[in-house]
This record gives sequence, C-alpha cells and structure tokens, in this order.
Amino acid sequence: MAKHVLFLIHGVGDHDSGWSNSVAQTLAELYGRYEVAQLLPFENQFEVKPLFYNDKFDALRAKWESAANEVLALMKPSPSGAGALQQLTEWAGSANKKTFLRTHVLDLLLYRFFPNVAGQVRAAVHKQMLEGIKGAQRWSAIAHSMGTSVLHDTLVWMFDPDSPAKLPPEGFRMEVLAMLANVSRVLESSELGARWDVYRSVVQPNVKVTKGVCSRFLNVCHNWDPIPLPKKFKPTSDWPDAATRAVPGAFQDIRLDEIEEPKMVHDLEHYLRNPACHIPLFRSLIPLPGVITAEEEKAAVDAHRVHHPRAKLQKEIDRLKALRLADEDDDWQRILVMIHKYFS
Amino acid sequence: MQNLRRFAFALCACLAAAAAFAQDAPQCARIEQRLGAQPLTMLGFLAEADCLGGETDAVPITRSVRRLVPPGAVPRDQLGEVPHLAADALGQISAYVAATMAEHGQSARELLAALANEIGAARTKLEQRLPLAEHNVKGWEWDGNGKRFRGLAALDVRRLDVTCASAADVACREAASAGKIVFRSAALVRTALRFSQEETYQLALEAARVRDAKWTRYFEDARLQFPWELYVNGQRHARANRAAGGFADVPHDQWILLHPGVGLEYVKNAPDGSRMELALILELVGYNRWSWKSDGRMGTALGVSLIQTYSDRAGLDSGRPGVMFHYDHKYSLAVTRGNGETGVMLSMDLSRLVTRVEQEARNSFRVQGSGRGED
Repeated sequence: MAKHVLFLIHGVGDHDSGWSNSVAQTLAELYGRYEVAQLLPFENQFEVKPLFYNDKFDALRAKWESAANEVLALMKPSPSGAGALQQLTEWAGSANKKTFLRTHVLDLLLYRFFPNVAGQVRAAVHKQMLEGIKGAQRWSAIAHSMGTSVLHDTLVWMFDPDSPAKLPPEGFRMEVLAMLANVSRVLESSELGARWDVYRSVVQPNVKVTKGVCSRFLNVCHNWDPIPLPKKFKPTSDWPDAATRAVPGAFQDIRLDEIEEPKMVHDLEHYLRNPACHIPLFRSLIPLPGVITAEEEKAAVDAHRVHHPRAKLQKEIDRLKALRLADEDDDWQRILVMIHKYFS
Repeated sequence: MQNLRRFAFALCACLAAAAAFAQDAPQCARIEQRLGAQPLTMLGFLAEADCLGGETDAVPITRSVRRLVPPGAVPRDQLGEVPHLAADALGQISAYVAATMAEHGQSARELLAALANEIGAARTKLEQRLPLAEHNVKGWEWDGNGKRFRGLAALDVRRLDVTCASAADVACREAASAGKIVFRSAALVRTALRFSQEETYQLALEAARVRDAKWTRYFEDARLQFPWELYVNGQRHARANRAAGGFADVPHDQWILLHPGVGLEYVKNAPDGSRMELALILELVGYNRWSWKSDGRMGTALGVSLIQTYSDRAGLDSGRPGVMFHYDHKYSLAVTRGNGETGVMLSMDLSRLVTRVEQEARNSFRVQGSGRGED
C-alpha cells in the first residue's frame, strides 16, 4: 500500500549516511505504545526516509585538508610576507579534524555565510525530497536543529511561486512539518528578501490547500535547550493568518520541560521521546479522532516523568504550583485545604 | 519483445498488489469490526489504511481507475496523453457515483449528488486546462478532526457522523455504505489528479537534479577554493542571488585569490641539477570560467592567474613572477621570469599527465622493442 513518507533531516554534528536508523527505530517504538498501532501499524503506515547533507561539509573539509597538506611542506619556511597565508592554509588544513568547533560550529558558519555552500546543501536536499515523494500519497517531514533551516530553504525552492522548480501546493504539499529545536530564524537568508524570511515565506501551514507547504506545523522547543533561543522562532498569534490559526492543530507551539540527561537536551531523540512532543506529532500525522486518547496521553506523560530525575522534580513543582493561592486570597477554607494538601 | 516486457511488468505489479492485499485485507476488516458503530471515524481509518480506492480495494471501479492511471513514472513521449487519461478516470468515477445513488436513501443521495458535482467540476477544469485550485489533489484529502475534505466546502459529510449501538444498525450501515462510496471516490480522484500532475512533477524533478548536478560539479570538478576564496566567490554568488530573488543559477566562474599550490618549474639556464625543481606557486589573483550543459555537466573551463613561484635554486632568486593558464580546472601551464631567465611551470596534474604520457610511450617502446627481439 502507498505509505505516508516521513522525511527526517538531521542537524549539525558528525552524521553519517545511516544517521536516521536509531531515530526511525525510536519513532516506531514510541508509536507502538499506543492503541492506534493496532489498527494502523507503523510499518504499514509510514516509510521513513532520511535526508542527508553532512557529506557536503565533510567533502569540503577533506579537500581543504588534502590541498593544505600538499603545499604546507613547501611553505616552511614561508616566503617573505606569506606568513599569514601559511597560517590560513594551516587552519584550512585543520578544518577536517573531528572536533566540536569543526563539525558543529564550522558547518553552521559555512551554511549561513557561504551562500555557495548553502546552495549546494539546499540543492542536494531538494533533489532527495523530490525523489522521495515519487508515488507517495502523503508525506511529512521532521527537521532538527540546523536541519530546520535547511528544510525551510529547500521548501522555498520547492513551493515558492517564483522558484524555477516550483510545485503547486494544492497538488503536492505535505501533511505535517515538525520543526524541532527550530533555528531557521537565526540562519535565515533574510537579505534575499521576504520569500526567505521565515515568517513571510511559503513555509507555513494554511487552511487553504492552495497556500503554504503543509496542513499542520509543529514548532517544538525545549525550555532548557539553549541552541534555538537566539532569534527564536516565535510567530505572532495570527501567523500565518487568522483563519489558519483558528483551525485546531494547524500551528502548534510546543514547549518541553523534562530533562533525561542535561547534556542531551538538544538531542533529536531526547525531543522525540518526550510524550509532549511525540503525541502531538502522531496525532498530526494521523488526524483522526481518537488517535491517542486522553487517558493514554496521561499515562505516557506520567510514565515519562517517573523515569527521569528532573521530571520527578517537575511533578513536585507542578504540585506546588497547583497549591498556590492568589496573593490576596483570605478564604480560610481554601487556606486550610492548601495547608493540609501541602503536608499530606 | 516489448510486449513480453510489458506482460512481465504487469505480472510483477499484480503479484506485488496481491501480496499487499494479502497483508492489508485483515487490517481493513479489523478496522471495520472495531469502528463499525462510528462510521465516519471508521471511514477515516479505512482511508488512512488505504482500504478504499487503494491497492487492497477489490471493487471494479478501483481496479479500472488504477489500471487507467497507474502509479509510476510516465514516459516523456506519453506525457501529452496524461490529462486525457486523468479526465477519463474522473468520468468513470462520476459514473460509479451516479450508478450507486439509487441504492441509497434521500440523505445519502443528496451527499452523492454533491460529490458528483465536485467530481464534475474537477473534470471540467482538467479538460479546459484551468487551474484546479481547491479541486486539486490536496483538496480531496480527509481531515478527520475537521470532519471535512480540505478543499470541498460544498460536500457536507456530517450526515455520516452517527453513532450506533451496533454496526449492524440501519443508520450505521447506510452511513457506512454511502461513506465508502464518498471516500473511495475521493481516493480515486486523488489518484487521477496526481497522475495529471506527472509532467509538473517531472519538470521540477529534472530542474532539481540539474541544479544538484551543477553544484556537485562546482565543488568536485572546478578548481579547489580555499576558505577565503570560497568566501569571496560566495559573496559574488550572494549578489547574483539577491538580483534573482534567491533563485540564482549555480556560478559559471570563480575568482582565484592567494591560492597556494605546487608545481614543477623548469628553468633552462639554471645550474645543472636544479633546472627542474618542485616549486611553491602562489596564485595572487586569477579568474576561471566555464559553461554549463543542459544536463548539469560542465563545458570546457579556461582560466588565467598572475602568479609568484618559490623554489630553491643556487644562483637564482627564489621568487619568480609569471602568468599561469588553466585548462579544464586540472591542467595549468605557467611562464615565469626572473634573473633574466625564462622558466616554464607545470601544475602537478599536468606534470603527472606529461609523465604518464612519457611513461606510456616508454612502455610502448619497450613492448614493441621486446616484441621485435622475440621475433
């Protein structure tokens, strides 16, 4: 049967071509926990397809290393006046070292400030997506971190009416666009005009099938993840328009708070494992009544909290918040109930 | 032979469909069994599982439409036929809806009549080559939470939204029966309309493939750019991009700036033993240009750079200025001048090529020589 194609696009980091295997496994495992999986099993319903662009950065760094190694031996001692160039060449040659600065920060800088590098990445992802939707009835995408920006820009290429490779949204747009740890604003090429501005581009949900790129847009941010904070994606309450915002689920701004491991708060699977993220995601992917009931949701949230230290504390914080009375409250009945509950 | 290939292809497709059917049919039955008392919810699940109008749907109209507008790429020379076939498919679906009306009560008949109108509207637009807009593929998708087809405001399916004590209740049976026709028709209309978009899809795919091929060649085949060169050329591309609204074509040239490299330099009148020396080349500034072919491959590239070479030769200055010419990104030949002596410089790729040609000539000579000897 024709499956719902689910694209996954990675963020910064040292990814290889098999990067999505564990993510796909996590998604299937999470989905399998809910009753909907008995009627619509994950393997019947979805076909996970990874989008991959890290090889472009890897290839560039490897070329710099190789070219620098070829000339550096002859540059020592450097010709007069070429000391700075020697330094630059040495730096270019070291760009391939697997350190955080090279595999994370450098990739971000290359994407944002080297339009030719960004052009190559967008073109590669664009081709993969178009090949991936061939014959698909429905398709959706989950993007993470830098992947949110790459996907945004690729979707502009795919659906903007002025694009030389445009597709009409009413014929091809996707179902769900999930942006996790969304950094599309900080990396946006706004100097190219409104169509690349993340608030004004075609990359939006829309109640009209002739507009936007998707039916439902999920923006998921972890409260303790510092990466998506600068120039945070925070659209106004009428983005993209009032009619769309009036449709439940068309735009969902989701905040996560539970921490499994402090060093993992930016991790894609850390986002997905949180029921506050994957339940709205599954409900959006299968927009039918009864998909993951309120009871199932509560059980999943409670189970997730129980297993994680920060989450355990969060439960206590929630309890304390629930006990709080208004500053000027002088109703003794409520005050006594509150004191009783606090100590019980 | 061609007929045999077509038969084999059709056989494979049938076997695949049969395998899918065997796997999915129990799934469809399970959904009906579980949700039969809530027909509209059941229909949404059946649609999600592709049970209505999909590969597993065995009713004649589904088979007929899927045969007429099969999924998969359409050969380029047959793309002209696509809109006619899609319109024929819509005609078949209209006829199917009309034929089923008599079997239903008044309320269902009204719903099916509204459905027939929507299919007719889509067909008219398709035949007249008008924009399909809300009647296009995505307009026929089911929004289970909104209880509507996204683009079909006139098709009010809320009359199917009944809940019964049992799936066998008349109200639920009637709603399920009419609803299956609606959902099956919607799925088949999507199939037909998606087929009608094949040319649009193929054009977009081709454009994306060519652009990807060009960028790949830009980074793989064009002269390597060190970070500072990549930045300068990137800013030039940014300017072109601004002018083109962000949709500029892949650059067809590159500036070369402070580019270090290695080559073999020959100075005829240098002291014995140091005529041919490995030298550091610094391309101070240069320009390299090529053209793009329609399939994203590169045409011949030509370029020129002002250079300074550095080598260690007794009796001669180490630095020698010159001009370097580039051919096809890989092969560079330079003329240098210093201390009144003219030198010739070959890039490593060119020197490797020359050496290989020389070696091949030697080998060839040796083979010929030994051959003669054996004779």
